Amino acid sequence: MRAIGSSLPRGDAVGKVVGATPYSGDLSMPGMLHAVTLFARRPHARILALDLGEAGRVPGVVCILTAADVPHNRFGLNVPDQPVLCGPGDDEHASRVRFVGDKVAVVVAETVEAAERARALIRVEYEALPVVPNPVAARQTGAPVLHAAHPDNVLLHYRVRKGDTLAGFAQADVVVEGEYSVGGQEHAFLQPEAGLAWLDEEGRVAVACAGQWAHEEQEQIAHALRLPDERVRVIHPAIGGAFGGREDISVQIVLALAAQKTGRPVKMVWTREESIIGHHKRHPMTYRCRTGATRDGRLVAAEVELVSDCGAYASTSTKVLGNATIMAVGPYDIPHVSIDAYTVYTNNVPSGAFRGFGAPQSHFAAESQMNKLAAALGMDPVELRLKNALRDGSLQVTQAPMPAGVSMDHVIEQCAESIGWRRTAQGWQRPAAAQPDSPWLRRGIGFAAAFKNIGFSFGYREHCWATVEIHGGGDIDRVVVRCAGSDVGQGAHLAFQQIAAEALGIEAEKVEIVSADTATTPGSSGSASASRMTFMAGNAIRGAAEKALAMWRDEEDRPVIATYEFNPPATTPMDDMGRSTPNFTYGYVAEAVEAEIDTETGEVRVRRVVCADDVGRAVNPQQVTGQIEGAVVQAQGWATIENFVQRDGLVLTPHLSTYLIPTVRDIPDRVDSIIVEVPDPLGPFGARGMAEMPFIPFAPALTAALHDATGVWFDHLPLTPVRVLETLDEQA
Amino acid sequence: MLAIQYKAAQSLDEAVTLLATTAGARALAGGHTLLLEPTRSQLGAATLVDLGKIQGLNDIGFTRTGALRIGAMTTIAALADNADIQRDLPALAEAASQVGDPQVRNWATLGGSLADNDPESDLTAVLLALDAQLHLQGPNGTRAVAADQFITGPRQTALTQGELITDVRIPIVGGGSAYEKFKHPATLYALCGVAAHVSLIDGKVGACRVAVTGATEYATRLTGVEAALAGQEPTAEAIAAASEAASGLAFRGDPFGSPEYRAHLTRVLVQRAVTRAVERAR
Ligand SMILES: Cc1cc2nc3c(=O)[nH]c(=O)nc-3n(C[C@H](O)[C@H](O)[C@H](O)COP(=O)(O)OP(=O)(O)OC[C@H]3O[C@@H](n4cnc5c(N)ncnc54)[C@H](O)[C@@H]3O)c2cc1C
Repeated sequence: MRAIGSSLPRGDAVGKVVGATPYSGDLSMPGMLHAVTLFARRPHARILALDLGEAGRVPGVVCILTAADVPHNRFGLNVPDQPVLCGPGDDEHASRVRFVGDKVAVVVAETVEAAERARALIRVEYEALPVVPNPVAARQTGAPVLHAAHPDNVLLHYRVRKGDTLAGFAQADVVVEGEYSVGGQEHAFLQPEAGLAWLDEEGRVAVACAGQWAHEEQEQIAHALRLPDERVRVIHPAIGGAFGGREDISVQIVLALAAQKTGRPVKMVWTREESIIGHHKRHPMTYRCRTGATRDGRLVAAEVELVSDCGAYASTSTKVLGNATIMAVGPYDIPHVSIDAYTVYTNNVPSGAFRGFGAPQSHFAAESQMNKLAAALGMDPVELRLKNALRDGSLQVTQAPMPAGVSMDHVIEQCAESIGWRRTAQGWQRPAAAQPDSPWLRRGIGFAAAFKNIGFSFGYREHCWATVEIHGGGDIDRVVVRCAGSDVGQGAHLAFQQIAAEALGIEAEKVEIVSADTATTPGSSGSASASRMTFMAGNAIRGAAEKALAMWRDEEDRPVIATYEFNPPATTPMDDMGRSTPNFTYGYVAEAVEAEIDTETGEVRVRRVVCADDVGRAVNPQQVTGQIEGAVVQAQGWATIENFVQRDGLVLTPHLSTYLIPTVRDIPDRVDSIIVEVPDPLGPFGARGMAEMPFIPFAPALTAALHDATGVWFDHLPLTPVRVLETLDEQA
Repeated sequence: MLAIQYKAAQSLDEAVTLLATTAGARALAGGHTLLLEPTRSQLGAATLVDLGKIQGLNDIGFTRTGALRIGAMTTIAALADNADIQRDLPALAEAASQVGDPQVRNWATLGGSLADNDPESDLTAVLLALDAQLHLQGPNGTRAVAADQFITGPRQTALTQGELITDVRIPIVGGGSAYEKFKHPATLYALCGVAAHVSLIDGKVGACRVAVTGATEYATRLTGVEAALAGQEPTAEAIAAASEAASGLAFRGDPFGSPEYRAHLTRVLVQRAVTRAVERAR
């Protein structure tokens, strides 16, 4: 049996299901201290004074960390613009809190209770500052400036000019205009942030925590503590979900600082509420779009202005904006395109990485435009898409050709056929949904497609490191793969195992994965994000395995050890016209949704989803299906019931009782996962990244279904029952 | 720390005596309201008097006058599954089958639900619409109270100190009944629930009772709707017009549904419940 392509069971499954697997919050050490965080819980204020007197006298308190204790009080994944701890001092930047989850102090004590008691006794004198509640307010003249380097509060503006939109729109027979808005989203991973830090046997500050990129966390901790990287060690034990929500630092830096300061192990576990106000969200975005086509359905021009709410700190906003920009017109070949994209600082919880990374927002706008265009042209939406889908060599909006292996048309056809679209002499034809008896219930079927980059973009030097050790005599007994890539719950390590086994021609059980510890996997693998882990680590492991196998055959020494660093083709940043080679490869997906709407109560029920996802090569089909189903449900949440409400910078939904995520009673009645396998020329054994793709087209496919059911367009997410009713009334 | 005492009463008399004579004593039925309270620190140092060992409190059967008598300790699952209830009182079976989830329904009891009188409870509205009588036993003996008089306010009932619900009696008077529910997305309780009972005389609405829960401060009869329907031929138009009379009430609001939305849902569910009750009455 081949290792690749079989649904091997997960080695970590039983431990996780029976509760035996230790997550970072389950770790303990002798002599361990406990830490709690004092959050600002106000969106914008200057800290005038901090009085720790009474708090420090609480029995059991060992130390209270404040801004003054942080050697280099700035951090951030792309832009170091966030204070580790906010407080009064020489650094005006750190003297202000800019969102409710800014941290003011960390209390370290013998027990959690003592730490909490002391936290309640810390006196902070705040001077309230005017709040910037949204990007519109942030861009008004006279708005408070949140970061001195950006006096207009605009962190970044991308400008894309391809062709000549004036000339393009002049050729258009039909032009549709639309305005769209989408909300934020909470990752709601099972395991809230937690970590344990200590000084290890080599005197390093070690931090065990849930993250997505051990080496980046190591670097950010070292930067803040002013230590050389090798004096910091980051270990990822079992990780309870991530979805991008662990890309940013949460507990790591303060825990390292506390361990360094006290010389003892220190543990911190955030509550669910702290997790919800403390880590970044998906970017809320607004769009203004114009799309033009000729009567026969050829797209000729598109114009998009999009604005993303960056929140209080940059996080990954610049990168998300880049993605949102290049996907703002969807997976189509359009000769004339103009895009202006902005990401704007506000006093909201920072926005950052979340499955899809800007693609879901942009595809909601772009695919809604396509659905409206199809209606305006009297053309089937699948027909229109196939006429314009990106193909090998099509020019992207950045004017670079698409990388080889584009399968957009193929994926669209597979999805459409599976839910009942028919090819007729007049072209593709949408199936009619069977209507229920109750007149207030209407059903419809909708369609959308998407593409998304795999790997880091815009000139980032992508790389991934792996080492393969082969043990045995004549035959291979055992293989150790060292690769830092994190298994955040998606099953990456099983994929690593299967790829190594395939490359070496052995059974997967013989492969052991050593991972996510900067001390034992010294080379970086990059983040478990951007649908890149299987693709990047797979290539690195395959490279190392093939090298090791050659040594195994040629040399006498045992074991053999080979290291390999995979470097995909280079990408480039956008220039002032948006010209660039943004990515080295993409994934392609199409989704059809059958939905039912109660036109009297506003309830929306998803009956069936068909998702066709080109994964290049399914390393483990069961895991691919798991990712498709999970992504569909997460997207359904974002599109319907997940309503992250912030008002004047305050989070009104800080619990899972007010911020709802789908449960078993909300999810679709049926999800059909269609695994398409058009090999990626660069992928390991042809595999593409896939974990974000099935999220992306869901929302526009759903609103297309609702339009099919009611004749009404739903352009604003989330579709809470009240919003659905209001939209029905407005367009009645 | 909570210091909870536990006593299992062997008879109703013993339970009533224990409740009347023990300071801070509370009756314990399925525990699905009561045992959530410690987390809200409301239970304090209570003595729980368990009703679970008392014989005969979970029987369902007809009285000599043809009413259905349901013991207070009947679980909500048993209400949903009972063939007599499904046939004669479909609104009650429908409501019971939509309470919480299977675990809740297997423990929660009719008596506990009524004594609790949660503003979003399903069963309260149904008992109002079905004109139920609650039989109570307390230190001063027994009495019967109509559902209308039993519910006195939000989480307030006619129960006096030490008094227990022993059973509920629902007249079987023909006609049809139905229950419609919009589940609260966070709790699965009723964001809005409407129960209706309608009997027809010569194709026109004769007796008719309609009640709402979840949308208002506590379960309430919609007497305006009832009056608007009385004597009418129950056409879709007449029912829609009557639903407009579900107004002038104080509607509740929360992040999932404003008072306006709950008012709207009330009108929608009145139409659906009455329409189905009429179909069953034909
Ligand atoms: C997760 C969950 C979901 C739920 N969803 C719903 C829902 O969808 N719809 C709905 O209507 N309800 C719902 N409920 C509420 C549930 O129906 C009530 O908690 C339950 O019916 C209470 O009955 P019990 O037997 O558990 O009472 P207990 O918790 O034992 O008692 C409740 C109260 O009633 C008193 N009491 C109990 N029995 C008697 C008696 N015979 N005479 C006098 N006083 C008595 C007790 O002293 C106590 O004050 C839900 C509850 C939970 C936990």
